[in-house]
Amino acid sequence: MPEINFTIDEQTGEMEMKVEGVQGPQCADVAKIITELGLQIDLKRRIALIS
Amino acid sequence: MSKYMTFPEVAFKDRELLIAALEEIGCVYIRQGADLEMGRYHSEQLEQKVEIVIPRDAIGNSFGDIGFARIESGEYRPVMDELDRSRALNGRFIPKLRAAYNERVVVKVAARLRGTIHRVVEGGVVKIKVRY
Repeated sequence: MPEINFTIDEQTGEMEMKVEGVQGPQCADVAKIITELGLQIDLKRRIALIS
Repeated sequence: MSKYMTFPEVAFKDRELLIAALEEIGCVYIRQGADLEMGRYHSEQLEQKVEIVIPRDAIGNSFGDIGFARIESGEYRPVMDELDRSRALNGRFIPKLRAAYNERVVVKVAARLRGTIHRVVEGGVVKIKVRY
């Protein structure tokens, strides 16, 4: 089952995410949803894509 | 010196989520509109037009209002007196707001994906797993 693991640092409020169990294009869809909502991270730098 | 400053490194894309996050961290009175003028309580505070205003003294911001200005990209950037940065919510205003906002982003993502949420807090880190 696909899952996304988010971690939010309570000291800074910054969030990171890791997507697991999702193939490439679907993973991009997930990233699109999240960026639409304004995730406070640099997606290119911090998203770890694990298929 | 007292003066209004913006935080270019901080931006919130979704107004609805931003308002909900502000309410969660204790902002009871929130003015919303277009071109709202922030209060000028000190001579060094220049005119600031914003879309969201948290009034002075609401959360320890004793030097001025806290505002959110909508920028060209559609995002909202905080504007506050530089002396309030270390006073509002004991200097934790921006981190608390970001954390509250980001948690709402996760809830919305889970809803869009029709997923389930499992949340734990470990050592100052909120860990949220969304399965879908």
